This record gives sequence, structure tokens and C-alpha cells, in this order.
Amino acid sequence: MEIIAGVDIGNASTEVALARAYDGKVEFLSSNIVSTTGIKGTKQNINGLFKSITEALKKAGLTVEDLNKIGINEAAPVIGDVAMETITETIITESTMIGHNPSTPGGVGIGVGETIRIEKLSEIKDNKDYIVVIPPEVSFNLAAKIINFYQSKVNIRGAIVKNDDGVLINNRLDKKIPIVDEVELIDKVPIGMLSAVEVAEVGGTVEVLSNPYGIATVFNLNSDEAKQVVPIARALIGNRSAVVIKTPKGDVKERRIPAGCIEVISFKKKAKINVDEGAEMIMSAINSIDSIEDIKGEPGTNAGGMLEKVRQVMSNLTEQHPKAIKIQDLLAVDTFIPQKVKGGLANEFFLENAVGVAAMVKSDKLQMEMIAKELSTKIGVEVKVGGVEADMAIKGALTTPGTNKPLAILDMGAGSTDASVIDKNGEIKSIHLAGAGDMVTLLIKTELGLEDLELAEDIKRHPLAKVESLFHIRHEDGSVEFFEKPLKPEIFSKVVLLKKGGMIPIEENLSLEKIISVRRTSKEKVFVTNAIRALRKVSPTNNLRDIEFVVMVGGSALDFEIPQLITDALSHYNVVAGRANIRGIEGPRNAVATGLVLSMVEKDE
Amino acid sequence: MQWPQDLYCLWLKRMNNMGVQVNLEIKPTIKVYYEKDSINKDEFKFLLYGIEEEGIPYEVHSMNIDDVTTLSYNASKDSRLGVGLGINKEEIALHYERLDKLSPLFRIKLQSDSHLLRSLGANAARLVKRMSFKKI
Repeated sequence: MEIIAGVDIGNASTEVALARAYDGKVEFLSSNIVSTTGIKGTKQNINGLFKSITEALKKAGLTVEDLNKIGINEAAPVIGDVAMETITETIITESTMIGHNPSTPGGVGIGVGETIRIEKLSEIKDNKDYIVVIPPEVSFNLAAKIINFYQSKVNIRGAIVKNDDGVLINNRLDKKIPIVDEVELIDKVPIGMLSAVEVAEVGGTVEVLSNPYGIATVFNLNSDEAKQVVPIARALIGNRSAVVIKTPKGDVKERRIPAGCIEVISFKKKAKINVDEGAEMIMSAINSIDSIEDIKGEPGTNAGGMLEKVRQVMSNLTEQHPKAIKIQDLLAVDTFIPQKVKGGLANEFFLENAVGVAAMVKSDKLQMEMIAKELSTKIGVEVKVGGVEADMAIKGALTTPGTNKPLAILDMGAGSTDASVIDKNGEIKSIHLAGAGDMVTLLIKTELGLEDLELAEDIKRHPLAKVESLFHIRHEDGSVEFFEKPLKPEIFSKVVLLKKGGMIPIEENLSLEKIISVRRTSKEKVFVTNAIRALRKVSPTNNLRDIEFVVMVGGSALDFEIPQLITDALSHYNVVAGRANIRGIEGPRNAVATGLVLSMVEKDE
Repeated sequence: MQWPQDLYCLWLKRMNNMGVQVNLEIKPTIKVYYEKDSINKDEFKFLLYGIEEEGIPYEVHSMNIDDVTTLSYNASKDSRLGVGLGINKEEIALHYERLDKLSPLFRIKLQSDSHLLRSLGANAARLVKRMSFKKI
């Protein structure tokens, strides 16, 4: 009788399966999972490894002395990295518009006139229309008094205010005018220029200033000028209030940033794509080439920088020269980045177009042998590096009740998406693709404009709820949960993450629907795309329909919605796909570790 | 036009005899109760500006009560919106009708700067509007 342990070191976690073997039979005793310490395939892994093994032994009531043999996976020599590049930018010159959304603007309607500082109203002699600009030192009481006083002499059509005073001023006016407040950089509002202020009813959005012809009507523009205001109108869509100012040189420009080219190289052919053309073109070029030798970015451009950064990270990890690092797969995804507008007056954000890439590098130098040797001397147990990771994963996956050969597995981790297929005769074919959990996190972070990668990771992993009162929350599926004790005021009316430790409020001003939509589309863009890409490549006929059964393993298969998204997408191809349940108890975890134990026992016979 | 007080009482009595419950307060407002004779309304005007900017109606009454929690709790119970503010010589408290009487939602010093007073007023309104609170 022997006690053996199978150990799987992954990008994110290290898993152990502990078993007792006798007469060619295997009895699994316990399993364990810890975070991988250091980068996969380096000496730092040993700490996590040691911890995971001792914990598994403890669960089974054993100690290191009882252990006879350890098997470590021959890690798939694949490392992934992600990068992002913006391809458009918006610049406001000479402050032509204010497009922010204060929560309580004042008044309603549209007013057009020449901008004037409130303290200069006394100097006016003519009978023109005016928009008053109110600096922070003028209180709402005073501002309202001044406007009421001068309203009979000059036509005041609207107001632009620094403080959060819109409603207060409006309530004290004899004649109501639209008021946009909380304009951060009030001193930069150009004076003596024709401008329009619009405030919609509560629940409504601006209608005149979000329409190019509306702006043309207000400012008397010709058809050429109307063309130029399209970006302004577009930027104001969906706002409840807005200001547009017509200055001689003022403009809002959308600029495409030249991002450069990506070159996909194989033995037979080369393909060159401009990153500006977007993810779809890049992916069709990559999918058109069978065995990719390397992928390069044009030197001196953003695309070049993006891929060189990936290459540099890989070279540091593997201690190889950057030139020896070959990028062998790339997943490009179209995305948006909310960016602060250059020249904005109220901290406006625009959604800029961007392309995100995940790159995958194969290296033959993961130092598993070295890790095995070091661990062996540390704990005095025989440690073997055994079995190709994909083979082990299949062996483990086949312990899922209801599975049989032929079978395909999708291993969705943090760094890469791997697929393997085993046919009736036990022949295994496998593939590694760029893009997995880390890429999803990056997409969530950029599309929601988050500062913090941890928060993006949390949003990826946990369902959301909205705190609707001090006593109840509404889950994202619409169900309501009540509490006996009042909830903390800090989370009142906020969107919260439902983590094990409690409810974590999301401080950014984001709606529940927006976060859910970004989270789902990010997962789809990466995992559904990759599932289809990977299965197509391992299918004996390159046709998805010829694969009947797919089981999902790996960390991302634990996700609360990724498996459903994939099951749903693959059902269109008549493929049965579901989450693995290793040994009937482990869920999608522990496949490789289990496979290692099984193969060690088989070899002994 | 206002009803003479005795006529009003007569009508109320009759309605009650008929078994009809009459809600004395018609307009939904945030109630603001302050300690009678010990503070000037001017001392908490910024609190009221905070409510006003958020667009929720309010009513101010003086009461012969000096405890700030009781003031705010009673205000919340009397408010059809369930939201009340209480002010005594030292403090201002924001209360919600369904909370335990002894634990108001927020409590600040009356002598806080105008910005904080406005934020607390805004929060009273935001409790009604179900919007997240300003930092207190």
C-alpha cells in the first residue's frame, strides 16, 4: 500500500489530490487548493506546493512521513499576457461644450445667449440675450437676487454655475431659466460667446443639443458647419443637461490614433493587418494562418509597443532573450475605454475605441525538473515529473460521471484556454490559445474605467445586487432579500458585490445594468470566442459539429456564469457541453492532479 | 382658504364616528423638528438648502423636546415619507421611521460647517429618492 499525491501547478492555483493505492486500486483521500506562489514554473512555486501538500495530508489525518510518492504535472509550457491600446481620442479645443450630468440641474428648457459674468450685468447697455456665468463666491441667494433685478432690463436666458446650486437658484427666480450647475472649471468658460444651455425634465434627456440639426438651428449654422458639430451632439446624447458654446476656433475633434500594424508570420505566408481596422480583421488574419511562427508589431508604433511589452514580460519570466520569444497565438478584442476628455470643463468622459490583446508564448524551459528535485530534498519523498498536462487533464476529466471517450475538454484558466480531444482509441490531440480569465478582468477594468484591478477581478467573480432600502436588497436576477437589522448607510442605494465576507459597495457611479452587461460581454468576447476557436482546432474534421461531448475544467469553469454562456453558445452547434465534476465530488477542479495520481498507479502495475 | 379650527374639529369627529380614518397630514414632506426657544431657525438654514437642492418638500416645526433622537424619531414618524430631522442646541440627527428609535441614521454637531449641514439635508432627501448618500 502506498500514499501518493498528484500536484498540478497552474497559473493561478496549485492543486493537490491525495490517494491510497493498493492492488492496482485507488482510493482518494483528500484534495486541496492554494494560490500558486510566484510565476508558474519557477522556484517560488515550492512554498505554495509544500503548503498545499501538508494541508491535504492533514485533512486525511496523515503527515509528510506517511507520503510515499509525489507526481508533478509537466506544465503546459504556455504563458499568457494582456495589453490594451486606445485607437481614438477626443479633444475639445477652446471649450465648446460642457457635457457632464449634474444630479440636480435647475429649471427646464433651452436658453440661448451671449455668455457674461454675473458681476458684469450692470455694465450692459444693449438689449441682447445673455447666459450668466456664476462663480463659486456668489451665493445662490445673491445670484437669484441679481438675476431677478436685471431680468427686466436685459434678457437672461440661462445660467452656468460652479456650485451645486441649480435648484436653489431656480426656486428663487421670478422667471424660470435653465441652469447647469457643478461646472468644475467655471473660469475657463469663454465669455462674450454665443452659447446654448439646455435642461430636460426629470427623467428626460436633452433633445436640441444632442441633435446636430438642433445645434445648427440654435446657432444658425450652414451645412458644412453642421457636419462639424456631429461629435458634440453625439457626446451629449443621454445627458439631462448640456451647454454648447460657439467660439470662433472651438471644436470637438475625434482623432484616430495611428496604432500601427501587426504582422502574423508562418513558414508559408505572412499577413499584415492594421490595428485600426479592429479586432475582427486581426482575428480573421490570425485564423487564416495555420501554424503561426511568430506575431510581430510594427516597431515605433503602439501595436509594436504592445507586443514588445508582452515579449519583454515573457522573456523575464523564462530567462530567455526577447528575440527567442515567439508569440504563437493572439486574441484581439474590440473594446471601449472611458477617458477624460482633453480640454473638458466638467471632467467629462468619452468612450474611446480600443483594442485589447492577449498573447500566448510557448516556452520549452519551464523548470519543472528543478522544482521536483528541490521539493524532493526538502521533504525527503520521491518526486516525479510525469505526464503531459493535457493528457492528465483528460484522464481526470473522464472521472466525471456520465462521460466517455471520445471526449473534448476545455480547460479555462487565468492565462490561456486549452482544449484537448481524446478519440475512441485513446489518441489525444491538444491546443493552447491566448486569452482567458486575466483578459476578462482587463476588459472589465478598462470598459468600466476602474482604477483597481482587484475590483475588476471581484466584479468578474461575484454576482451583484442593488441596495434598494435600508432593509432590503434586490439581487441581479430580480429576487429580493430582506434583512432584520438595518444595512449600513454607506451601502444605501449602491450597487454591491455579494462576496462571502459581506456586501462590498461599488463606489464608482455605475448602474447595475451597465456592470452586468460589461461583465457578460467581456466573458463572451473571451471565453465563447475561444471555446469555439479551440474546439474547431482540435476537432478531427475542423468542424465543431463533429465533437459531441465537451466538459469544462479549470478555474474559470467555476465561474457562476461562464459555463452557462458556453453551454448556450455550443448548443447552437449541437454540442453537449457542461461543467466537469471530477471524481463526482470536486466540480471542475482537480482534474490534472487526479489524472496524475491515476497515471502513477497505472504505471506501477 | 383655511377652515376655522372648531369647524375642523367637528368635521374630524364626525368622520371618526363614521369609522373613516382621516390622515391629518395631506402633503408628503420631510419633517424637521427643532427644540423650541433654544435655537434660531437661521442656525440650520443650510440643512434646509440641502433638502431643497435635491427637490424634496419639507416642513419645519418647533417642539417642546430637548432630546435630539426623540426629536428626529418623532419627525420621521410624523412624516408621510418616513424621514425626519431633529435639531437641539448641540446636534442634528437624521432618522428613518423604520429604524430603532435609539439609533438614528446620521448624527452631526449643529456647529458643523455649512457644507456638512447641506450634505446632511441632501441625505435626508436622498433617503426619500433612494439615491446613495453624500459622505458625512
